[in-house]
Amino acid sequence: MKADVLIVGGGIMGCATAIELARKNKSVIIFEKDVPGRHASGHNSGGVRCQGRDVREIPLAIEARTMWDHHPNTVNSDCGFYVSPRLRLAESDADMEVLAKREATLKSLGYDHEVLVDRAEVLRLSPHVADHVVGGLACYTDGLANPLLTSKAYAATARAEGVTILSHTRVVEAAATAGGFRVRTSCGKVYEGETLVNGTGAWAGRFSAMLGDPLPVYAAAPTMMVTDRVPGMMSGTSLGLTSRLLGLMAASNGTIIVGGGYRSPLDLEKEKIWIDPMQMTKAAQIMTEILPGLGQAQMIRCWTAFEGCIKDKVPVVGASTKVPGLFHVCGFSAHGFQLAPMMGRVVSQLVLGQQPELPLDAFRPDRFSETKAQA
Amino acid sequence: MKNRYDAIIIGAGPAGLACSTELADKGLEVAVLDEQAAPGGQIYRNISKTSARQRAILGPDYTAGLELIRAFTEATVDYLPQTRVWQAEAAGEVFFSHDNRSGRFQAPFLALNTGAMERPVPFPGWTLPGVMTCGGMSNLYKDSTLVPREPVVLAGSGPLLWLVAEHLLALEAPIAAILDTTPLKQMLTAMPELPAALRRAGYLFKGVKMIAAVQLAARKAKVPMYRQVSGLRAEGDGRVERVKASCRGRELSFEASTLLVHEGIIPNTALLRQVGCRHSWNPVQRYWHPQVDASGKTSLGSVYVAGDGTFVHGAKAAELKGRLTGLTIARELRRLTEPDYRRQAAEVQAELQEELLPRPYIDALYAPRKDLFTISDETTVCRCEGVTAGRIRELVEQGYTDHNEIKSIIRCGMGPCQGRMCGSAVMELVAEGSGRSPEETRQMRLRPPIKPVSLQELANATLGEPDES
Repeated sequence: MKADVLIVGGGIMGCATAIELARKNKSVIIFEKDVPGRHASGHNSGGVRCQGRDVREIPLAIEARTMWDHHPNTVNSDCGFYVSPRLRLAESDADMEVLAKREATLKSLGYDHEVLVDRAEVLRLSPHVADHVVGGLACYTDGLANPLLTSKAYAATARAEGVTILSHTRVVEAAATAGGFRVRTSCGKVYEGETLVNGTGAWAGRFSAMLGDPLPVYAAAPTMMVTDRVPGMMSGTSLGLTSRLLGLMAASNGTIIVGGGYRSPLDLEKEKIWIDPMQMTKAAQIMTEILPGLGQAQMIRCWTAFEGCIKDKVPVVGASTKVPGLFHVCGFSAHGFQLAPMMGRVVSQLVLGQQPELPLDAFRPDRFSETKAQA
Repeated sequence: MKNRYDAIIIGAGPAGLACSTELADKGLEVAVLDEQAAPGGQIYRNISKTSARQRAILGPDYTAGLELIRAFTEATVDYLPQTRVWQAEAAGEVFFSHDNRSGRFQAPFLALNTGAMERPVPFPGWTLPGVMTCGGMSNLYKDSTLVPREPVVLAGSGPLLWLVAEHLLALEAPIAAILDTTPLKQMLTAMPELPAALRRAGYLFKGVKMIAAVQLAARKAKVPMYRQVSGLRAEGDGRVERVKASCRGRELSFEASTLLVHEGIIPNTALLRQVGCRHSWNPVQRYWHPQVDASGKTSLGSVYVAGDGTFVHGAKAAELKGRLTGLTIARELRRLTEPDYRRQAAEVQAELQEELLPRPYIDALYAPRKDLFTISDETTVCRCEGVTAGRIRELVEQGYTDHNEIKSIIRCGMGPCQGRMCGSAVMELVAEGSGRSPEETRQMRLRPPIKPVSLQELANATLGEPDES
């Protein structure tokens, strides 16, 4: 079977790219070893945030943010999105300096989405934070969404646009040929396409190696937690910290989703993650310090997902310099969810041979050879 | 505090008690973690503290536990009552909350004797205050001699329904009606299993005699009894005021403030699924149970399950299964020679086989009836998140057959109970809508903590690397 574009990975990146390509009349096949949204795309913490991003990602994140408002038109679902201002708290004067510096850096680059706020504004946004909090950096337009709903909506839209999604179909062989690429699946079938998109998430390191363009993407298992309902505790504002690990998201139903960098051990081959209870106790200690009223709240569940990470924490988005016709969109290092709609746009532009509407130089797949030379 | 043991036993019901006593007997260091304040499990709940009157009411099946408790009390074990285990790992780790803090124990062998629970079955009005299970009622009496003084209706199928009716009659609780939902057809399908059961006729007759005696007492007390009842529902403004049902075409209605329901007993597999041992689906009992060998060894090797947690066989069998697991772990730890093990295990196994003779008959008679999960669209299925059967059916119609996905989209099973209350029903709704047997659909994943644990308990954790002292 043949298609213009073969996409490996049915996550939100692959589906977003497929939708844009299908709308430009390209035939697309997506290979998904499980079901769309089974891993990080469907099971992340749901944060839709511009705040705290690497400056290289900000232009894409800002554009992506407006796309989240338009999801009912573009993917026929609001994806469970709602605005929950994101407030990064300063726990000391030193923290406050860090935040002031960040605001200044952003201002010098022409961005005003992160605003330094004093304790009075912190208390207006989040009345129950502890006495030691001195101020914060607020991003009023950030929000939260339902990851599974989002990835399902993207997959459904892709199908509606004529994209073939092969679920439970693992790519066991992929190679460049004279006319493009040939892919063999676990079902024993062979597919051909002119271009190939690598949207394989946590498996991107392995998959890129299979194609002869190895990327330093490694798998990590962010560990997320959720409390029972604690009405009024968050007042709709999501919280982060400046010098400690913690992200508290104000879910619309009154529960608190805890994220922010806790990790559990994993085995990618066996696809097994051991949820590390130490992460829960660490988070609980910090949570009760930041929101002293939380002591009696209950932690009701942890979950994890396989994320594809890169040491420099920005993704790989661009054409392979080693394999013509291969495009990577991976390595989002556990913060790709918000960027996904925009990734669909720029990657489809790359695939179509167009100049991407925003520069992607910082995300070049060949950037690692340079850093290696430095090291 | 010591935190490294030869074996960690979860649960102090008949299986856990027998298992830990057996291990302690062989000189092994054992920790026993249990949710309740006193040993005994559900069946012998609070037995060490109940009064003579309570024991008289609860009868010889209850006081049979006294000997087990005595042996356990005399054994040298570290017993932690009021302890909630919220995560176990096959590598031999157990995480729990006890005395307002979290802790971690380690051992090369785990015995997760999690026992059984009453099968949760949604019906209209089941979320109203005043609706509870027969087992729940029994616990209230065992713990604090609580007896309903307002009219109460009992409804369901299975021996526990009649046992609780017997206790309530003896306590002169005002029973408004007893509604038996066992279909007539099942009595016939159970017949082929009867001859085997009769080989242990004493046990069977005891049950038959008990039910006959309850019915006689109920008749004397002028308690209305109905058989082949269906369409059960509870109604009321903010709590149960009326119980309605139909009986062979006739509409029934009773004024009552308490409705006690019972639709059988299923293994409590939450911890077993979290730890990751393999399960099988039993199409007659319609429940998942862990795959274990005769000694209770699961697919995880170092993790064992004894008692009703493996398959519902009752208290006496649970004790024997616990004993067998204890002997096996003792042999694995080289505290029992192979010949000694074989001899002792064979004795217990023979007794267990005898004990299990009547089970196929009882299981067939009280198997969940065919229409048990015929749930109307507007009935709430997930109590934590208020999700109706209709909403779940919509998703199944859209092609979702995985509870893990259904819960992420409509939150059904996302609440504090992690699907313990709605899991069976969602599975049946998926089966009904997709035509697929639960066996073919994925079981709901359980994530730690499998029971809610307060942030304070977590923050006060002493999980540090186990000391060797």
